[in-house]
Parts: sequence; C-alpha cells; structure tokens
Amino acid sequence: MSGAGADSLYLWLAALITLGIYSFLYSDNRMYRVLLHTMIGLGVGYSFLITWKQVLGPMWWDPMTSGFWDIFNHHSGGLNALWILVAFLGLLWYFQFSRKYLWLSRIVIGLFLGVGAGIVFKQQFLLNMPQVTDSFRPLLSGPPDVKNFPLPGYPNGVPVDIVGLGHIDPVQSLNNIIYVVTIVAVMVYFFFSFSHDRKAIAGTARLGRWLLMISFGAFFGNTIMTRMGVFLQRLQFLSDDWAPSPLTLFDRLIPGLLYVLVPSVLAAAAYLLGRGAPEAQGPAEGGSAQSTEQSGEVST
Amino acid sequence: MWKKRLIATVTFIAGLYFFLEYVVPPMVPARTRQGVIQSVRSAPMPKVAKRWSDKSGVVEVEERTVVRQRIDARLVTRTVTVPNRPGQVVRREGEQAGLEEVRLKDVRAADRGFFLSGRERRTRGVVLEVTRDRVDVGVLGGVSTIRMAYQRIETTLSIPIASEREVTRTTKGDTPERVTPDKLKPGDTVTFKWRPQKGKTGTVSKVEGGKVLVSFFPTVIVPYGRLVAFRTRSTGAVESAAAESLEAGELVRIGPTTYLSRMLASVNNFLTVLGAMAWGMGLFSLWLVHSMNIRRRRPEWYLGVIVFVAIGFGAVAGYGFGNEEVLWARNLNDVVFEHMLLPMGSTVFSLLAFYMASAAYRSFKAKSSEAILMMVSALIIMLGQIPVGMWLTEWLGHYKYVDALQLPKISQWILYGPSSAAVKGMWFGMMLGAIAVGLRFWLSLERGAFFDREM
Amino acid sequence: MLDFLINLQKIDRRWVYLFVFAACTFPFAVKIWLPLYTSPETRGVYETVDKCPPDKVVLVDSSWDAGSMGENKGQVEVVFDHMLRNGTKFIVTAQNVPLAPQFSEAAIEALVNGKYKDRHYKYGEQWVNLGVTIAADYIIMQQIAQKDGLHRQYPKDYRGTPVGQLPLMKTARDLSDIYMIHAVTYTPSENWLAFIHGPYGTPITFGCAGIQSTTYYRYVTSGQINGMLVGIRGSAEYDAMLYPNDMKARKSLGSRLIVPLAFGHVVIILAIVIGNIGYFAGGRRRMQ
Repeated sequence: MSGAGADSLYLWLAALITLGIYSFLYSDNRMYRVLLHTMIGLGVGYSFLITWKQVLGPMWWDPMTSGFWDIFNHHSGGLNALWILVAFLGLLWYFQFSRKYLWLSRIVIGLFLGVGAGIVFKQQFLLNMPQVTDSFRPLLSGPPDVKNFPLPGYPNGVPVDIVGLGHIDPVQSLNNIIYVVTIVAVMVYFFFSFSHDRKAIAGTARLGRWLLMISFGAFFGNTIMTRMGVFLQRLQFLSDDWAPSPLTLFDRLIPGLLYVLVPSVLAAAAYLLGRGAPEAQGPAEGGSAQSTEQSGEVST
Repeated sequence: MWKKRLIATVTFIAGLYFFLEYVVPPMVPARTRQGVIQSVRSAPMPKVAKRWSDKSGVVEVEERTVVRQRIDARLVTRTVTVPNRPGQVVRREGEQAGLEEVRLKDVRAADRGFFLSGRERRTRGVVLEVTRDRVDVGVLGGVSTIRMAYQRIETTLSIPIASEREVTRTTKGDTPERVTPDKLKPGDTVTFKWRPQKGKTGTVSKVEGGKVLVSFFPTVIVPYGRLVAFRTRSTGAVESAAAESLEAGELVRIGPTTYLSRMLASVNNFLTVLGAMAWGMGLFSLWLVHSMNIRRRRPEWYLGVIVFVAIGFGAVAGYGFGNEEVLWARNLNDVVFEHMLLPMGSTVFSLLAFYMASAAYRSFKAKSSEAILMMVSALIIMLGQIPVGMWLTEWLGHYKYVDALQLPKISQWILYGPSSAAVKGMWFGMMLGAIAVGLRFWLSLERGAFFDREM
Repeated sequence: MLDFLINLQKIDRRWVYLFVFAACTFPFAVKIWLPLYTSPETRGVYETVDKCPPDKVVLVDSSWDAGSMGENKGQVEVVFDHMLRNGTKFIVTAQNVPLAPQFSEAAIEALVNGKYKDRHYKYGEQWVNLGVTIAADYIIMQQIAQKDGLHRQYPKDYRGTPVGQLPLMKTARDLSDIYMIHAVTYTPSENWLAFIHGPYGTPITFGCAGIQSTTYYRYVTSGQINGMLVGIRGSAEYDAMLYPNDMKARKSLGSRLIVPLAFGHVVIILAIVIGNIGYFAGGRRRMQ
C-alpha cells in the first residue's frame, strides 16, 4: 500500500494508539492493557534484531565465522575463531534462570562488577576533581574576568590578592560566599560520622536542609518541564499531523470536531470494554500509579 | 566455597585491569623520553609476501613491510616553572620562519621558543603545560635519535575475468549493483560478499592478462615493536600518536609500552560483545512469565499471546532496519517504528505529565516553612523557564538596579548558585560513597541478599 | 464561602487532566508569541558550535528515542540547523538506544531536503550517521579516543555501508579529528567529562531533559561543559539565537512547543495555588 491513502491510514493507526493509551486517564480498561502489551512485545522483538545487526553480527559472528573459514581453507587470520570462547562466556548469563547453576551467571556478573569498580576510580577522580577545585571560590573577590575565560580568566571572581581591596565586587563576593556556605552546609547535613548534637553543627545542618529545599524546588520545576515536554510532543502530533489528515481539503474546524468526536467515541468504547482489572496486574500496568496518587500528601 | 573464590578472582582481575590501566602510565616512566621532533626519516624493509589461492582461481597476495623510522628529537633535559604574569613578553617560534613576540599568557602547549628570563633568557625551551598561574617550560638539550617502527600490510586480490562470482560495485552517487568481474574497470570501488574478503572494500587497480586486480583500502598499519608515542596538542591534551603520523615540530613522549593501554581496544570489544549477549535474557524472561500465564489460563492470559505475536512482528520489522535489499522488510520497519512503536512509547511516557499535575495539586501543600521555601523556589523556576516569566517582568528591564529581579534572571541565579552548590554538596558525598562501594565490589567485600546467597 | 474554598482541594483529578489538556491545546489553535530570554548555558552551546574550524568535525551523540523526543528532538534540530548553515561537517552516533539513529536521520533529512536543499548536501560527505553501539558508554568513549577508534567502534554506518567507503570518514578517524561533542539524550553521561574532556580537553556540550539539568549546572560553572540545552526551553532559545529577527523561521520542535509548555505550567501553578487555598481554608475550619 502506498500513497496518500496509506499515509492517512498510518496516521490514524498512530492516533488511535495514542488516544487509546490516553483512555487510561479516564479509567483503567482492557484496550489500554492490550496496547501496553503490544508495545512491550514490539519493543523487545525490534531491539533484539537491532542488537544483532549493530553489535553481535559485525563484532562477533562475522569475525568468528571468518576465522573458522580461514582455518578450514588454510588462510591467514584464523585467530578470529577464538571469538567462539566469548559465546561460552555469554551463555553463562542465562544460568540466571537456573536455581542449581545460578552461580555460573555470577561469574559474568562479577566480571562486569569488577570492570565497573575499576572504572569508578578513574571516573570519579576525573569527574569530581574539577568540581572540588571549582568549589574553592574567593570569598572577597573582584568582578569575574569573563573576557579571558576559559583560560586564564577567573569566571567566579578575581581573587582579592590580585585586584587589591579597592576593587572588591560586593555582588560577586556575596555570590561566592553563598556558594561556599551552601556546599559546606549541605555536606554537614549529610555527614553522619560526627554527632549533630552540638548547636553549631545542628544549626549548620539545619541551614543545609533549608538550602536543599531550594534545590529540590528547582528539581521540581525542571521535572514539570520534562514531563510536559513528552505530552506536548504527542499533542503536536495529534494537532498538526493527524487532525488535518482526514479532510485536508476542508477547514480545520471540521477536523477540530473530529478531534472532539473521536476521543468521545473512544472514551465510550473504553468504558464499555470495562475495567476488568484482575489482581494479577502489577505496577507495570499503571494501576499502582493511580494508587500512589491517591495515597495522600507527601510531607516535606 | 571454591565457587565464591572463583567469582571473587574474576571480579578482582577484571577490576584490576582497569584500575592499573588508569594508574600505570602507558609507557615505562624511567625509559620514556620527551622532546620536540626535528626530523623523521623512514626506511621500508623488504616486503614479506604471503600468497593464497582457491579453486576458482582467485589469488590473494598479502605483503607485509616493516618500516623503520629514525626520529631525531631535541630532548627535554629539565622542567622550569615560570609564573604566568600578565605583562611578561616572550619570544615564540612563529608559523613562518623566525621568532615572534607574544605575551606569556598567550602561549599554548607545544610552543617552542625562549620563555625563560634572567640568565636563562637565551635557553631554548618548549611549553609543556599552561595553567592559570604558571607555565611549565621544558629546557631542550641536544639532538638524540630514537628508532621506532611500524608495519604496513597491503593486500591485493586477483580475480579471473571469467569468474562468475559477483561483487558489489559502488559508483559515486549511484545505488550499489551486483556485477561479475568482466564488467569491472579500473577505479571501481567494490565490496565483497564471499570469503575471505567478505565485507571488505577495495579498488580495481588494473584489468590485464585475463585478471582483475583489486587493492584494498585503507592499507592496514599496525604498531611494530615495543615503543609507543604520545603527542601533546596545543590545547594541552595528550593523545596517542601513531608512528607513521609523527611530524617534525611536534612535542612527543616516546617510550616502551606497558601494554595495558594497547590492549584496551581489544578488551573493550570483548566486553561489548559479552554484554550484548545478555540481550536475550529479556526475551527469555518474558517467555517464562507469559507462557506460564497461557498454560495455566490465568486471568487475561490472551495478553501473553499478544506479547508473543508482537515480539515476532517486531523481530520481522527489525530485520528491515537499514535493509536496502529486502524492500518489504524495510517498509514494514518504517511502519512499525514510526506509526506504532514511536506513538506507543511517547504516549505512555506522556501520561506522567498528567500524574505530575494532579500530584502537584494534591500533595504540594505549604505545611511547613521548608515546604514554603521549596514551593517558592519551584514557582520561580517554573515561571523563569517559560516565556510567561519574561512577559510578566519584562518591564523591570527598563530600570537600572532592579533588572536583576526579572524572573528568568532570578531563576538563573538559583540554578547557577544555591541549587548548583547544593547538588555539588550531595555529589561529593556520593563520590566518596561510589569509591567506597566500588572498592567493596572489587574486593568482593559486599554483603547483601544477592552476594550472600548460597551457591 | 469557606466550604467552597475547602472543596477546592477535593476536585476530581480527571478535571485537572482536562484543564491541562485544554490549556496545552489552546496555543496549537491560536498562534501566540511570547518574548524569550536567552540563558548563558544556551549561548555557550551556540558559541562553541559557531567556532568549529573547517578541518574538524563535530560529533553529535544523539541517543534518544520516543520517550524523550519532545525535548531532545529540538535540541538536535537546532544544532544540525546551525552546522548545516555554517557548512560544518558532522558525525552522528548513538549509544545503547537501538531506535535512535532513525530519529536523528529523520531530523537531518528534513533540513537537508528542506531548508538547505539548494546546497545539495550529500550523505557521506557532509554528515555520516554511524548508527548505534550497544556497550557501556565509557568503553565506547575510550575506544573512540584511541587511534582509528571511530572506525573500530563503528565498522559500518547505520545503513550497513563500511565506514571506509565514506569520504568524510576517511579523514575523521578518532577523537583527534573531532572538534567538539554535543551529547543529546535524556541523561547525558557524565563519563564524557571523565573520559574525554578530562584527559583530552575536547569541548563538550549537553542536550538534556529538564529534570536532569539541575544536576548538570555545576559542570557549566566549573567549565567542564561549555554549555547546555535544557529541555524544550534550550532548543527554543537556540532557535531564537539562530533567527533573532524572524520568528517564523524558527521551526524546531522547541520553538513549536515553548508556548504550549508555558500554558501547561500556568495551569499547574494555578492547581498548586488552588490546592493550597483549599488547604489553608481547611486549616481555618479546624481552628474554628
């Protein structure tokens, strides 16, 4: 099938899938669960083939079969046949499903744990050392040297021993003081190696907690933007791609009516199909998302 | 007990390699020499050829040539640290012949010239490292000779014109086509589907004497011997330098390899493939769960059938991914990907937007002073991120001292200042925790339900 | 009146869903333009991309799929637009997201066959899409830093063509040929900083979801990343920098969605305010 008719059909397919999943917002229903399971199956099957095509095929199967071919045909390059040993190691993953031989899967898991642990030293030092040095900001400083940034300028304020007392920038100095005090206060809040009984430490920890609240407010604000972004992308599809498609010759008003009618019909269909929510449904089905919502207020 | 020891040994060795690869320098420190290359002369040794042929008359000739290099370099005899004073002027070798005067703060790594002052102002040096406060200058001594080598492998293929074995010819701008050797002409780019050249690409160099001669590109160049070179770039970054790419004027470090970095690519490939082999576990797990549901006719067992049908359908569609030859598969891939997977995935994620809205309505209450602080911060950030915040406070921009109170600017200050600092504080704690946990995993000291399970 | 205020915190959640839906739909029907403030982190990305020398390439690690398309698609679109405008050559890669190459390729082809049709940009010469690699990201990063690392890690492009056949890849072989890396995904890996920026100094910029950006601002202030595009806002701001005087030329997904986003935010802010009014009214009733 090709042409404008096919494109329209595919748009309707995508739109019906979208609206069918949105029917869950009214109530849980079978149509939503069918679509969810279809998505899981399609995603897994599709990704499986992609992994073969992009990784296992060119990096393992092709070199290994070439190596065996080279050996049997007396050609150089037979060393690649050693890749078959990786297959035996790779099979160890699947002993995860065996009770008796579970320990075999722990060999490859242990291998990757070791790799991760070995990497973490390099990663943490390389990642966080510049952060540590950046944390030491001049508490009394001149204005930021933005002209010569990144090197050899001073983006967080020129130290006072360079500019002298006459050139102190109060705003930059205040910013740096707030920055350093925040880091120290938050670290004190999270350090449990010493007791928080003393007033100084308890007060600093309390200040850290307050400053953390500002950070969590920023987290919340950015989280909203992320979640809305995903929804808006679907809305843009419904509005710009699907709504005009059935009647491209007509005014947008008519697709706008379809925009109202079709969801209403679907909502009715969803209602008629019934909730049918058995006990077997787990968190992945979305049921617990509702129960989490209704569980009460989150205390801060 | 031996099982746990085996697992612990594997874990330790795996981590040890990466730990040592980070800690141990790529070259033996005592025998590493650093300097500026004056000249590089190459001398290829006689070729060693290997010849292979098959029953159809295809002949492959592989020629290996060891190329010995004589590298004359002025070596760094000692390092002098010069304070990076703003006004200080030095003389640097410019891109044209001769010296140019520049400020010390404008020099970059690998610059050559005269950077010292006082009695050593006529001492030639090379900039090793530039920081905000100092410049490390390596004093150059006399010329020394370092000998390195690399190996060049060139493969040519001779195919009888009368052969019926097809190759894929790619001409610029056209689609690939399958042709027999008699249709090839010099300059054609061909890719092979038959072994041993499967997947390799070559160029037809000659057609003569009833044979088509194909040479493969790129010519393979491999390291030869123990010496490796590292080059310092003008940004200060140090990168691995292939022997055949060394040029006069470069600041290099040459020494015998410790092999750890050389093995890195192979180790990484091994880990990539081994990790990818776990991909089937998801499929297997789904099969276990849903086949049980179907066998026992649990409620809504038909969903399991739907999953299996969808897996098959998705696998068929995945076969069409990037497949230029089987068009129906390619079209199916496009339909499944664009019109099914994409809407499904996006829409399920987008449900969270609604949950966040109703959760914010129900749960975000000003019950305490800390909650109020969080709420005010959230509202400022939310308004600052969207044009509404700018629209509401744009008028403040007309006044000198209160323009910093515009919502986007306050939002920016919160994000760059207190929020960033608080996250940094949390992260320092996490960094120490990550290192501690990494050590525990590496040395198999970790405890818990998973690690203490009987084997 | 107090009863009415108390009942404000008992509105059925489905009404909240409906208000969010309606508020976000409104700007799609009625075109509204609002002023945009360009943040320093967006400017950092713009200036870094603008300074790419002609003999280097930009690596765009576009590892996102349907789940984060609303934010990430605009972040690659604007950078692709900028690079195509400047004639900068670039390579697109993906890590661990099998569906990612198709998304980025669709964005590039829309630009190459649309806005830049008269420049006749060709795949393999102006840009290359190397497809996806499934591996730990630090392994991939260490690999591409090695000599010929790009060729070893991605032996074929996403169409199955051996990379040696592509003109651009003949000169772009590893990290030394890359000017900067723009990592766009839901959560860009911090390993870019540890394994690429730290040892080699390659400029890195991020395109990330808003939720992740809060943790990444510290890298902007320390100079470890040159800039960052934050969610929808980042791509809208970048588009505004590309087309400062022509709002209609801003065609990225970010520019399209920034005003609906604003409306959605306003509804959520109102929901929070209304919920709190009801809460305080309930507290007042309890005191009575």
